Amino acid sequence: MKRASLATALVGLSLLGASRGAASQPRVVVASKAFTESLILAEIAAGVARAAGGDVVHEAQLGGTRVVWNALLRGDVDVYPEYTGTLEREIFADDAVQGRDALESALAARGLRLGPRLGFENTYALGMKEEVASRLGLRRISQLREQPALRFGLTNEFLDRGDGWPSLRNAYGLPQQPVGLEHEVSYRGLEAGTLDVVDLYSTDADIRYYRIRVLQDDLHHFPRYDAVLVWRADLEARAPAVVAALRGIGGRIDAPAMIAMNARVKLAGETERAVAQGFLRDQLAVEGGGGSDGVLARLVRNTRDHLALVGISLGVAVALAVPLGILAAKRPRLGGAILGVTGVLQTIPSLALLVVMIPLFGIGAPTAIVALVLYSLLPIVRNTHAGLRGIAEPLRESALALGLSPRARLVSVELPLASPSILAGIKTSAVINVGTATLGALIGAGGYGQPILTGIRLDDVGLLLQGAVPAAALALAMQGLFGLLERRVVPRGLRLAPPH
Amino acid sequence: MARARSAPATDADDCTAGLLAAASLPPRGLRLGPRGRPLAWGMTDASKAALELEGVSKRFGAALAVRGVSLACQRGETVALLGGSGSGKSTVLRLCLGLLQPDAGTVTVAGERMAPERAPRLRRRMGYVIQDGGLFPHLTAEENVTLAARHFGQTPSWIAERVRELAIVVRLPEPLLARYPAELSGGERQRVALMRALALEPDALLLDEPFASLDPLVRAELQEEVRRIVRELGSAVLLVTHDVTEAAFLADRIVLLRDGAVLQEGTLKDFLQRPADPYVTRFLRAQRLSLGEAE
Repeated sequence: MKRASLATALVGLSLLGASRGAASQPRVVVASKAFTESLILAEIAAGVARAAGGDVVHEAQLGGTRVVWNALLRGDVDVYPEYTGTLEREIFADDAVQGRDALESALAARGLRLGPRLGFENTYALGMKEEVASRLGLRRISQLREQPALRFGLTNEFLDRGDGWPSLRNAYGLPQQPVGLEHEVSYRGLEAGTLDVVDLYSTDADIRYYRIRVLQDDLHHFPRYDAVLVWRADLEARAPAVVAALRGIGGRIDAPAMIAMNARVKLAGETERAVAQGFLRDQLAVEGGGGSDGVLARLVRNTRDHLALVGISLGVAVALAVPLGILAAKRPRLGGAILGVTGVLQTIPSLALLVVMIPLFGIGAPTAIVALVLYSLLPIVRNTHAGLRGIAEPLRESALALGLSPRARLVSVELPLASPSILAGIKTSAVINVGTATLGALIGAGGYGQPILTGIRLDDVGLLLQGAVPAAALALAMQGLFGLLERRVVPRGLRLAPPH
Repeated sequence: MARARSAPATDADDCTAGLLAAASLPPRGLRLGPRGRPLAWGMTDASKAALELEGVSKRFGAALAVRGVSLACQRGETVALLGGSGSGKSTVLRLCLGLLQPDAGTVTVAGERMAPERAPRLRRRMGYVIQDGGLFPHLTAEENVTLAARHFGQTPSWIAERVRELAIVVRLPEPLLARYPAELSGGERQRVALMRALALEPDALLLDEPFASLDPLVRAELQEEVRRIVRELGSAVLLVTHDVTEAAFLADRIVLLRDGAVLQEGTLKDFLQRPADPYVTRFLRAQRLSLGEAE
């Protein structure tokens, strides 16, 4: 384990960081982004690495290029599948990197290696339903200029990328105002008729399935997107056999093979691992280890991960926020600053917060827990502050008049009187936390977000419900738990009708 | 030690069974603390006034709430601070407790000058009862009474005995001690508040309109009880009230405040016979009091 942060230590306590594999096997962390092809390629790489003697972990469907890239730079991830165009235009957008040599040296400067081309290209493209495109007579992207009323639905990542919408719009002079969404949802938007134009990956199995016309990039805006593997240079020293095996995948996957594999997952409902293992067996004569988990085992694992995320973050948040709330109540000027800062934390978009913290805490549970702690602060701080400030003046004076020390007043009078409010704040945080923790899956923290994310990606409602239903149940259970806790924590005298 | 525990033999009305029981308890002046030392608040200088204000003024923003008030309250003496609302009488009480700091003048408690750093210690020599008792709703009656004693390290046996004595003194049936304030009547709550104020054997008792929110019968009963109790305990009492008859009934001396300043000091008779200001007469008349009735 090379990351050694406080958060990791905390997680280590909580079953999450169980050690994996024997010491003699080099540990190899393979990562994938949150789309089907990335997962299949990562599973193939993982199978190859495992067969070459690696102790392999797959950090699956991380929430975007930046998340994976930061994790790779930090050493949380050793290898992941990427596309040359993404590296040139998105990751090295500011460095004018073009061509394989330039790319190799740019990666080498960051302690990374570019693997061989896998054998197919998966370019970005714009697509429309065949019947809509033919009705409007559209074949090329440049023709979209004349159709300002068309509704564009573009992947959130594509909207922001250096090689995505901003430069595409400029290159073609497109007038449309796109909406941002998840890639896997966009085909359904087309099918439902709520969208006219979406961005595609050219190897998407959905293109044929949904009868989509791919518009020609007539101004050659998009660069080549050759699929490659990128790994850390230090992997070559740690696991030379694994790296040699990864090189062996080069040139073995052509576009039709990739489209077929995508189709088996997205259209035939097979798991990425099963499809990858089929490929390994048939094309590379590699027997991949490790079968898929059953539904129950997955539920148990997700529940454990989710409870750990919520439990640890809530515990830390309470330990921080109650003293902060007390401080805020006792020192009004400082209190304004404390409430302001925790309020601002609340407004930071969760994915942004997660991505920003990856360089500090890595991918996985530690980052998710830190983010959840920050999000949990406000309700607890605010309610602690409000509960203490809301104590009736006669009671405050009575405590003073008894000659009690500030500490005794706080412990014996003020905190018990504020306890209903404090507990309500913790309850709010807990319930919000259960929901927010599902986002942990975007950075490999596991939990109920895992099946939700996969369910969205594969348009599999059953899978989605495997995450959504237990998450909702857990939120309800939290409510109930706090109802019971209220009886224990809030003094009986406060639950009686107030005097008069 | 000005702690006469026995009831005055002449006051036959007050010689109840409860008082006899209280009187039969051992004298408490030299009671020892948990570490064998005399309790600080039990060893006060009897030669000094329990409570003394000298030229005390207090300003809230632009308004002068208390203007140069001087008064002294000896052990065994009850002084009523009488006045209308806004006359500054409650503010005087808060100044005595050190809940407010005077802008001018000094407050002295048993010979020691009240100052912020001394306030917690000096407050333990005073018992404070406010209109609705100010009982902590999260604590039972008994926990309210014993809270301070527990914090100041009294032994459980001392505390238990003290609670039993106090319940007898204020005539609170012992089963009520287990109840929360919300489960008690207004009169019962004030009895508990008195117990709490008396728990640490204070030199002075500060009562801020303690009967104001009680219904008339309960009020009359509790006024009698308080008169009996303070006579029996012999502590100094400063009573804030707007009720002339209450002041006359309970107090040895009345201090009439107007706009934060002392207008007249004396007995009700003095007020009626030699009013220092037409306001004095108006204040008494407003409460249907004239010379003939007072006689």
